[in-house]
Amino acid sequence: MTYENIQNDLAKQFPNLSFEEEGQQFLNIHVSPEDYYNLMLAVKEMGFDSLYSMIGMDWGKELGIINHLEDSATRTMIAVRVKIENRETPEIETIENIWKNAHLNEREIFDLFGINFKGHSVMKRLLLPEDWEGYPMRKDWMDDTKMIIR
Amino acid sequence: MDTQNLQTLDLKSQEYFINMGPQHPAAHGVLRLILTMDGEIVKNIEPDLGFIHRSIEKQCEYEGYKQIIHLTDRLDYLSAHINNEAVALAIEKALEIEVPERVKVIRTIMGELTRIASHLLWWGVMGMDVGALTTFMYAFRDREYINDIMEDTTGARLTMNYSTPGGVMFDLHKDFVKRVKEFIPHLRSVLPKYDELLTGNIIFIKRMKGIGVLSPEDAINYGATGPVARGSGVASDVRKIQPYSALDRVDFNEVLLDGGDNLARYNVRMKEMYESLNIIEQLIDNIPDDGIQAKTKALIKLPKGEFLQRVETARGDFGVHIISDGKKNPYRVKFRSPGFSNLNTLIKLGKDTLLGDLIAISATMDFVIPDIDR
Repeated sequence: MTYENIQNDLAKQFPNLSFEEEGQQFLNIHVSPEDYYNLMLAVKEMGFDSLYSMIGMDWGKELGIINHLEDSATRTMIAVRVKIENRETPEIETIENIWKNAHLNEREIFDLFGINFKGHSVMKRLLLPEDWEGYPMRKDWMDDTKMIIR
Repeated sequence: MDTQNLQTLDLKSQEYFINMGPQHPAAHGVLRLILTMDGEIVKNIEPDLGFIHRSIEKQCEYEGYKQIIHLTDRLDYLSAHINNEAVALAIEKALEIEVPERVKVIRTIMGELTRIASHLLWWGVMGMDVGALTTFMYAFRDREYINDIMEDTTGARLTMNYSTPGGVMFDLHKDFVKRVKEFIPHLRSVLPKYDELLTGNIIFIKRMKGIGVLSPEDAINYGATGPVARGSGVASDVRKIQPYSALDRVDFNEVLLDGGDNLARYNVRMKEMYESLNIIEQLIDNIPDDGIQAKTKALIKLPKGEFLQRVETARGDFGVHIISDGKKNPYRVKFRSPGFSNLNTLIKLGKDTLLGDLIAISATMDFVIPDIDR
């Protein structure tokens, strides 16, 4: 399936998507948090059976995630980008029931960026201690110990 | 209490918790698994990670591009060279630098040597985890050859930091080719004996055959890569999907086995060592002589955008995402580590098995904890 076909297929189902291919390694799909879960279901249907990676992001103003998805038969890869405007209580749907690989990845993003995945089975800190305060991968995190930010 | 009273009592079995780790001889590092047990059956596994989390991704945001390479040694330290190569390739891809042919060949030979060393160590601890201590001694003896070869050229035995953007740090040691050529026939002659040592043992086979079966669909859905996925017959070798360095000019087979059980994963790694030897053999005799460093600027700045480079480490698909905003530091770096996704698979495979089998399954997963914790 070419990027053009994917783009046409998805644009029919989700009119609010925007696409970006030029100057990028893959087809980038920008989606709103409201459409996110349904879009992920749709791309799974299209054959993207492998969730390659989930990247938590802090763009300064918004938080967000980038999911890289791969079709294991044709090795086509796409990237789905979501921006979440609310920095105080960022929330988004979990996709752990679509790709099991999301289970630990979402816990990691919750731990380091503080994005809450609604409906996740174990939404607890993963890497940091349970009593840690704050989300260290955010850009506005203050490093009092000066261990990383000097 | 007399026996009559016992029979009238309402006795029930109940589930209980066991902490496996963080200090556990079969965990190869500080991995803690919180196990919910019913008798000797594992009902649920919850991993507790982060005992050696150093936030390497955050550190990368405050270092220059040349500096972040050495941090990747500390992820999967048994595939240190391949991790270094991944970052170097990502930077070269972003800057569109063409590296000399000599660099490509050196990187591939070093990478395959790393893979063999890593698989040898895995074979040693695999035996140890199921109670055969001898394998550990043999594996470490042969791994020593590779560590010595590495030390001659790079000055380090484990954390090599050998690749740089555009090339490699030093030229090969004058004895490199000779020593590698001595090592290849040696390993070829001992590997069948080593294999026989474990697979010729009925106890070992009973703990491996039919235990921890991973279906191909689950392997993909749970994000398994590397020998774990190939043991279930899922083609996932990045060296075939997106050949990098000198891998496009060598002839080798991707080892794919059906079964998906412990034994299949074991056999994949044993066979991969022969394939790695084949790759090295094809390259070692004609290493081109066109320099070890392409021209790069002293201060590297990547153009705006997102760059992904995937490589095949000994554990699977390692991906370096660099998101750049055009400055001298990356805006965000994400390491997609194979161990992290393979841990998902362990949660699935370990359920409803015996506690002893969980140890054998996790041994065939070949975890390196710093790779998971990052």
